[in-house]
Amino acid sequence: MIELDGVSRLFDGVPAVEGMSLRIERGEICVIVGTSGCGKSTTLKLLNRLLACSSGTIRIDGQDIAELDAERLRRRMGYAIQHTGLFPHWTVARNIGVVPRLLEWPAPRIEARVRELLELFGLPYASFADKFPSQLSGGQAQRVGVARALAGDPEILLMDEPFGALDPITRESLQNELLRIQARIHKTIVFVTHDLDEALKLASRIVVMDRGRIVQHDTPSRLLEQPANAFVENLFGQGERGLKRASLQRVGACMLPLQGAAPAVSVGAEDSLRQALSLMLWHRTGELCVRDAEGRALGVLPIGAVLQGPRA
Amino acid sequence: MSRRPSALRPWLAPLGWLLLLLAAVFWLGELEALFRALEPSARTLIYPRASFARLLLNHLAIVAAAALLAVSLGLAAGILVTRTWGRDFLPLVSQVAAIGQTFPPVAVLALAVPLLGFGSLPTVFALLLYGLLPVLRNTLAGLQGLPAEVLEAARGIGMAPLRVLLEVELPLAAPVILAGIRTTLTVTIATAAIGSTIGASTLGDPVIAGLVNGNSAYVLQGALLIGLLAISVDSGFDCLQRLITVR
Ligand SMILES: Nc1ncnc2c1ncn2[C@@H]1O[C@H](COP(=O)(O)OP(=O)(O)OP(=O)(O)O)[C@@H](O)[C@H]1O
Ligand SMILES: [Mg+2]
Repeated sequence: MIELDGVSRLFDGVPAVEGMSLRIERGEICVIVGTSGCGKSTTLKLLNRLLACSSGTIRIDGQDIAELDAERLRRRMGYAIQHTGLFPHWTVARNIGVVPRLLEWPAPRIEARVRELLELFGLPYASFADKFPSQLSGGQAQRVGVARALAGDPEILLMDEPFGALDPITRESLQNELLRIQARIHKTIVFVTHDLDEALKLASRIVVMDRGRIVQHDTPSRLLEQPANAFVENLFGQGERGLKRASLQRVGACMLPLQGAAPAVSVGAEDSLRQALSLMLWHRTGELCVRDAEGRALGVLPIGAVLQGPRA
Repeated sequence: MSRRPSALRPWLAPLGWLLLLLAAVFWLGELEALFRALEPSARTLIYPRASFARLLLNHLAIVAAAALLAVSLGLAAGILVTRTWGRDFLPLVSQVAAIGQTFPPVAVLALAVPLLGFGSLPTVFALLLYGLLPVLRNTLAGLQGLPAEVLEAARGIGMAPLRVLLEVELPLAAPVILAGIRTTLTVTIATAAIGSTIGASTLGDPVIAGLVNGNSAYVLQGALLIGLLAISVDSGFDCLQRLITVR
């Protein structure tokens, strides 16, 4: 659990982060969003003490981080950044193994860990371990960057736009990978992004920042439904809000029992209402058949159920 | 750094130059007939006062002392003023080094003699001042030119400052720093000859003696040896740099 208590950070007297109080629970993905320069990266750097707080305290599991050894603290926290910061003179394997080496794991364990992570991120060990960062594509490099952050098995993962500057397809696949991995490893993740759809998709809760202050800290659906002010409302795309919310909701939670013949057009139970809506628009139909991953019909999704949203 | 399959091949050029230098040191004396064509009237044609081997060794000793000092001082100063706690001295140090370079070495020699007397010591001192800037400047450029995100990652991952320096900063800046050392060395080799004017025995002796006595054969012999020495070392560094940057 991470607690920020009245945290401020000034640069030459100008606050970059101001009076920030925040509680991030163990195992949650907390996504920080906000306009450029609002203090997102600064917040992350305060968490791993790359920057010191000008005032206020940060506690991890009740312990004030200012009292901990900075290097040891950082080794407990994975850190992934937008431009990856991979060491260009080291191979992929050595890059990923760096924190385990700092933690003085025995060599065979490091090697096994590197193998495991490369496989986890879909980068076969045989072809990638000995490559240098300059030989990777942008998406591969970002995967390696995230793998490196995970390598020391940290309790906390700090990610500063780790999927920035990627094409939408690669980006989405990395988001899915992160969610898949998180479902297995349950880290506490603090994730900074510019991309609001990414935030809505990944977050357990979202922190909206504006000029160094927290404007709202809420679950994605509450942010959409009850924006604290015009800034939040604006940020989460006014006219697109309905679609954004629909993309958070699963078809499976809205469908009705199947009666009579199954409709011709099908949608997956795990798909979002936004995808279902898109299918309806495209096929000019008001009713979809909901199927599971094996293709079995589970129910129907009439347009009325989409409008109603998930049933409690 | 990965190793090339044929490790010896890139070293052929510097080896060749080195052999040529050694050949010149030992067989220049046999070419009297050739120098006769250049200076038909001179009494002696081969520089007589010391063997070329002796001069080469002296020259190398002076260069080694000066370069070793210049490189270690320049490297140390460059590293110190790029640490967070040494940053205040950055402008001062770069200015001092720049002044060292703008001073002509002859002037440094002239100023050093009253302080340090004649011989090798003031020569080493002058060369040290003169050779400091290239190493220092390149160390600064190399360390300051590193990608910020790599350094941020190194620290953010939990590397201690000394480890960041040794495992990340220096290896990444090595090609640039090495280029500085190369310049320092070649400049020092060439400039060491001037030491002969204040009594240091170097490959500059034949040149100075030749100029004083109007014997261009001596001048040619000294210049040839200095040139070959400088080229040998320079082409050795060329290989080293390429080995470091290639992967
Ligand atoms: N080292 C620094 N020195 C001085 N000012 C800084 C420093 N780092 C950040 N700032 C300032 O603090 C403010 C917040 O910066 P920060 O990097 O946290 O923004 P951000 O929210 O991450 O923005 P972006 O989305 O563009 O990455 C900015 O106004 C920036 O100019
Ligand atoms: Mg940022």
